[in-house]
Amino acid sequence: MILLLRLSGIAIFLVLWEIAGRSMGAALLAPPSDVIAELGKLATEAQSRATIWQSLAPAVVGFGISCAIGMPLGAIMGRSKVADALLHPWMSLFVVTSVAAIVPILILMVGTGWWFVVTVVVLSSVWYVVLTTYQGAVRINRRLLDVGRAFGASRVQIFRAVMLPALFPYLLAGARIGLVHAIRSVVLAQLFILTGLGGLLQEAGMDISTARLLALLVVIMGLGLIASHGLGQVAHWLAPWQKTVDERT
Amino acid sequence: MSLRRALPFLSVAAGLALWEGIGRLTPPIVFSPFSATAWQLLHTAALPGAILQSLGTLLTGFLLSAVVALPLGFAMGRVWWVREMFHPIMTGLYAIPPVAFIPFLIVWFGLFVESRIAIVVIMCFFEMLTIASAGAANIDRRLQDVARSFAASRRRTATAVLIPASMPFLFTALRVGLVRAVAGVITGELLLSPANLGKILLDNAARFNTAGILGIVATVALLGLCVQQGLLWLERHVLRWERP
Repeated sequence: MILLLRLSGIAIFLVLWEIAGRSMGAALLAPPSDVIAELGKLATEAQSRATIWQSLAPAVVGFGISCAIGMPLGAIMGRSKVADALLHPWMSLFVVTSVAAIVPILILMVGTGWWFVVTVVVLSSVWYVVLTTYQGAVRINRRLLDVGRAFGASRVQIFRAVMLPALFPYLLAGARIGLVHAIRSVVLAQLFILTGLGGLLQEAGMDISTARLLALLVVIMGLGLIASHGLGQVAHWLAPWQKTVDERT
Repeated sequence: MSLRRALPFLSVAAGLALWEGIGRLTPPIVFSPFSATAWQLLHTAALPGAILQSLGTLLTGFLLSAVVALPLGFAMGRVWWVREMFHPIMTGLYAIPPVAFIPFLIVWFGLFVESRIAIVVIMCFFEMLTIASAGAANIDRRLQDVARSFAASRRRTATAVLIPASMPFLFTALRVGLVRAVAGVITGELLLSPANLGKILLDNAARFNTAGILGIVATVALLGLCVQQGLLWLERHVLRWERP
């Protein structure tokens, strides 16, 4: 029954889109049938495939850097009052700052090469990783830490045996949000310098038909869904006993 | 205690000093000190007008988005078949980066203010939708049970239980949405035809005027922060009963 409703939701959406597309014409809104045909064409073009793959590399590298910086930083902020007081104002400032606004100065600083995209990715995803890890670190149950201390565990042991398992769901939630933002910002960065996915989108925007544009959006959507659900699966596989945390902490 | 209170302010002061220091050591094209940035900002005559114009775009887009996102999110949270029907589509659309819609928006709305409003609408829509739907789904069952035990009418349940219980998450949704809307405005003003704050930013970038660029970046950052803190403040005042 539930499956039926879900499928019918998607079906109604597609039918409405098809009707709207046919009545408005492909120049304004290509119907899904055209978009599927275009997707097939996209899949056979080696050039486009390579471009899409290459666009993923800076997202992955930037995301890795964000995790490597953000997770320890968030944990430290959550456990140390001084670090929190010192860093929190900056974190709340940076997390509300739109990366798009920083892009022009980044272009002056690092040029428009591969590392430019990586920098944009890091600058847009690292704050989410930090703040999510921070939420987890603040909420570590005091009693668990006290048990560790009562049994004379060293700081390293407490970190490994108590804090890390307690933080785990938050680390994963942070990683998920970070990855979603990483993919978003790759597209943003590439739209500024018109390479990779951004370049493809720009080119498709010039077409008479919007079919190619919509096909690219579907591809990007697929990448985003695979990324966020893939990490959810990895989390479940690594630590099946953990509940996932609400991502919007 | 007082030292800990002072630490954030000290940190901000230290950060500004660091900015000043790095700015003085590096060539002015790469980075410019805080003082030069502030000076430049004060001498940008077009700034207040640009901020007002940007705010106009922002509020229009934000309100249009909220009017659809909040009721739909609420319905998705409360009515199970609405949720099941919309959830897959919304998840899919949410996975598309809003900026990826820009070439499409150009086809539909052109390069100017309509398009910028549209990007703001898209930027904040899904955030507000998800928060509203999660919040509505998590309204404490016991509150509703109490209303039912006292045989409250549907209308009375709505006004006395559902609406007050929804206020906190509606505020959160508005706050997150508004911050996203700030990002949306500046994205639109940079990637569509340059306008307002985005235009000042790009003009400065074209002249390699780093102080000018940093000034606008700081303005946008402060705008986001003000919007967020302003709504937090409003939330604390309106929702007095929620305070611990």
